[in-house]
Amino acid sequence: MVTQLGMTATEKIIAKHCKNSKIRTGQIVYIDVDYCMTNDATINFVIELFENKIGADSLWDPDRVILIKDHQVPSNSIDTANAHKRMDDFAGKFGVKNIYHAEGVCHQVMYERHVKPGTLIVGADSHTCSYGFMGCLSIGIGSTDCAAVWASGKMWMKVPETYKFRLNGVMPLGVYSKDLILRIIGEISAEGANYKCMEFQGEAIDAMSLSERFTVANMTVEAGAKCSLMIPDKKVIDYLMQKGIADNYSIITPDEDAIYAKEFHYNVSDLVPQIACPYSVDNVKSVPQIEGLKIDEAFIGSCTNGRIEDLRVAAQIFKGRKIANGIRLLITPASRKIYREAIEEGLIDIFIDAGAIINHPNCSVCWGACQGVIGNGERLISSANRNFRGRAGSSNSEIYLASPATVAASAIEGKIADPRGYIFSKQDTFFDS
Amino acid sequence: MINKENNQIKPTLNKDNIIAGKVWRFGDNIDTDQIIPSQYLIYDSISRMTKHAFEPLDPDFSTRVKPGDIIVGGKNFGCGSSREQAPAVIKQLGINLIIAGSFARIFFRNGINTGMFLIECEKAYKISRDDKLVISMANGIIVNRTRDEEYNIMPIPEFFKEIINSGGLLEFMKKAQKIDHSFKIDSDNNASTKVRSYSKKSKKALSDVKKIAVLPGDGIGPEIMEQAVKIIKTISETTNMRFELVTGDVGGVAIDKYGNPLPENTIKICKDSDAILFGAVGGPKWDFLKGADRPERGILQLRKEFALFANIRPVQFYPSLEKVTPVKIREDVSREGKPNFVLIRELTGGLYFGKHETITGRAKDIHAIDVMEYSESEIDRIARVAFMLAMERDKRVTSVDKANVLDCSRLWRDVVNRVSGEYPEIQVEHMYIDNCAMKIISSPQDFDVILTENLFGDILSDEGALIAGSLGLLPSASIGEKVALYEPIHGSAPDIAGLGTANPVGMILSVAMMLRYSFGMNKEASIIDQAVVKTLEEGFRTQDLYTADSSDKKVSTHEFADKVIGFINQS
Repeated sequence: MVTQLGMTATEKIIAKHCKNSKIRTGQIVYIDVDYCMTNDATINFVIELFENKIGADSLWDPDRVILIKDHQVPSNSIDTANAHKRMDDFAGKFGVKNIYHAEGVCHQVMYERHVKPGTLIVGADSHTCSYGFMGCLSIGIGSTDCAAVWASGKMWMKVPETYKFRLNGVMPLGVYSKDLILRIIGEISAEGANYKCMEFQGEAIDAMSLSERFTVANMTVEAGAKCSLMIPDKKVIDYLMQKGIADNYSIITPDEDAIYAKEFHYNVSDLVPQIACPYSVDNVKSVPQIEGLKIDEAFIGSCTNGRIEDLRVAAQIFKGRKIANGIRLLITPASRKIYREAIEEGLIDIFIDAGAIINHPNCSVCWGACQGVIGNGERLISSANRNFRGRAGSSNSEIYLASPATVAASAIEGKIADPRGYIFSKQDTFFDS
Repeated sequence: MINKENNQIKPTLNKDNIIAGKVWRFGDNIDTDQIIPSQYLIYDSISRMTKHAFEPLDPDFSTRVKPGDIIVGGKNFGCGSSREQAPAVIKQLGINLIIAGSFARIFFRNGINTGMFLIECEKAYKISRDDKLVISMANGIIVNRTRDEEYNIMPIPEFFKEIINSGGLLEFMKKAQKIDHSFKIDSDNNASTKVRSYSKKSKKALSDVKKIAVLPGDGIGPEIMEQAVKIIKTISETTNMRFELVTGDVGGVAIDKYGNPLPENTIKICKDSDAILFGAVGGPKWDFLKGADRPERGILQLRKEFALFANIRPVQFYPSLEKVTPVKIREDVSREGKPNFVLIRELTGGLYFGKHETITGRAKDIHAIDVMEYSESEIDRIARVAFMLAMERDKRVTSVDKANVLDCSRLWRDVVNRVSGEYPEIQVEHMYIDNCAMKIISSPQDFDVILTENLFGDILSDEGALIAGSLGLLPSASIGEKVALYEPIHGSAPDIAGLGTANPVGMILSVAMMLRYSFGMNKEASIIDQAVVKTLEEGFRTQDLYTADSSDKKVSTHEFADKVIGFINQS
């Protein structure tokens, strides 16, 4: 029988943005976009398409276009400097006020400044899928799509199927949301959620801080997901209240009879620290399985794990300790706001004492085009999101992805190490007391 | 660096065979950092980046690859970053075709948006470097000549084909005219393939003269056709479109004049036209004639002559006629959600066109046999009409059959399922005819496009008329490979012929359908549709719709049409 089927939250957000309450999975619709974010990594290409291929002479809405310099900040080459200048000139010419020069990684800046529940945001960066942690439907797009959105405010999309992940249990000490999402990607594979929305529910999600939830949503693209979603709870509403946002957003919940393409159930109580080995994010092992592997560089930062909560965990481990001889440790707070908080909380002092190199907020070692590039045969342990061949430098180097705690413990020991021997209390109690 | 435009394979999805150049083979999970490493993304042009394509995997790739070569990847090709520079450098090297076991979402989208040709093939892993391949889009296969193997490819949805064939998203958007000069998309239109104009001659410029064959027929046919002609004149006056109307005889009136319900001359008029407008045929005067000589043969012959295999009947609920429709619409159905569906009926196959025989040879027990027969191709073409129409609507197709009993229905279901693979956006549901006959009355608002065979469609369309309130309200289009025919669904109603009381709405809305499907005049068609709605909302009623209600104003056939024309002129 053709009846109105129950809708997922994702379908409802799409329905709201294409003014068609009867949309269905698999249908192609034109959506109205709330914000479109673009960063310096692809700005040249988008401007080229917008100005020369479309020949547009105005943006659909300059206040909904957001430009962020983050991938190569401060500029590291003449090409970068020229691209940054082109972005500035473009913003001036077309009246874009939301341009951020050195505020942090684009997704963190979006979280701090623009993301609200129930909105629909597209971004010319694959990790745009992150904002689902706040009940915002956010999708990574390419340059042509971005140019078309700049001109029209609209984008074609296929309504995705949703995979529901129900996560119950209590996370053990020393195990974090990064470990959880790595474990999930390891199980479902790097294309396990290709084209799908990954929706997360359950008491393990409820117990997480917004920062930890961000990490989960951020990594969904590594399973191929189009977008992610968590239903906003009191923590989200409190966060918005704190920022003085009391309305102008909508909490959208799925119907009880919503149709999910698949459901996955996990109990997190027995989870141990996880690590993604070269050269794909789904090559996941538990830390104890490869403990002892020598490393050359350690990195804490990125949109995945560069927030104040992550730095606090790292500081908990680094406090009173030094990194191993011959190891490089790079710490890059994900935003200027976080950087300032880390200074005020004394975390930066702890890192400097431990022997870290502190960088101004940017994408940093997460992609090998800016700083902390690794050489031939070197091994990096990173709190970031990708371990592809050559992603952080030489094509025969290796990247291991783990939680900030595992990275910190490994930096101290000079080899991949289990952080559970360093963590004796929940981070928040440690620093709030 | 190689970039010879002239040697590139220009992917055209309608072309049969593409002969591929040299195969470059890559493995599973090729991420975009391998296709174009991060450090080159900041360059100010794609051409500066191309020499670094696939550098981490094969530093010499860009110097050895030739335009027209193809890339074959494994699973999850193009995963990782959203950088569109990845498909862009591949395209810049003259490669327009990538085959992979599967593609990562963003890369696939970027490839399509760039106008590249991405083929998903489960057996891609069987292809090796330097294999000679021929890709046959028509048959949906890759032929590996080196290994003498064939691999099926995943069908490419129509929407993607249109983007690719346009040369990419930006060209598609311009071409689709969903945008004005400032590149704004008409927000009322969902992305979809346009329903094609079914008339072969419909591609002429809008200012061309359109020839319409006008066949009024018998009974009330002439008086309702007169209204249709008035409407066409009004549209002609308000647009730069010119129509040339040529009248022909059909049905009883043709029998009287020429002894043939469809004379040669009428066929010729129709063949020379861009569309056919048909009134109605038949009457008691010709009831004594045998099957093959009856007026009804006129329309059956026309269907056959012009291979009119698909009958499209939109059914709409008019809120202003709620009191005349015997179908009760549930109160919780919103005004926008009121019944509005299209019935697609197969028109030239099935029981009506099979062998008919009455065997009287056996003394006591006379036998009659009617044969129901459908071929795969007959089902395929009607299914495509339904899917194309559904793309313009709510993207839901209900295919109606009796697959629990009939072989024809089982084949029907198989073919519909196969065609639906090419339209992944469309939700398909199969329903038995007995259940559908019930649901169409109990919850008509739940249907969008109903696809069914000849006999079932005949029955369901009369049920549909109940929802609107009167047989006189429903238009129809019969389309085929040649000229399309438009007619109201009602008959010649000889009992009221010449009284001026016939309802002209079905005929007038048939004119709107003609403008929409044969001439691509969507705007004018909507104006006519709206004018009819307004006329009904104002309370104007022909006899069939008139009730004693104080708001009803009884009008004649002519007066009703004049009211409609008044509203057309106002819009």
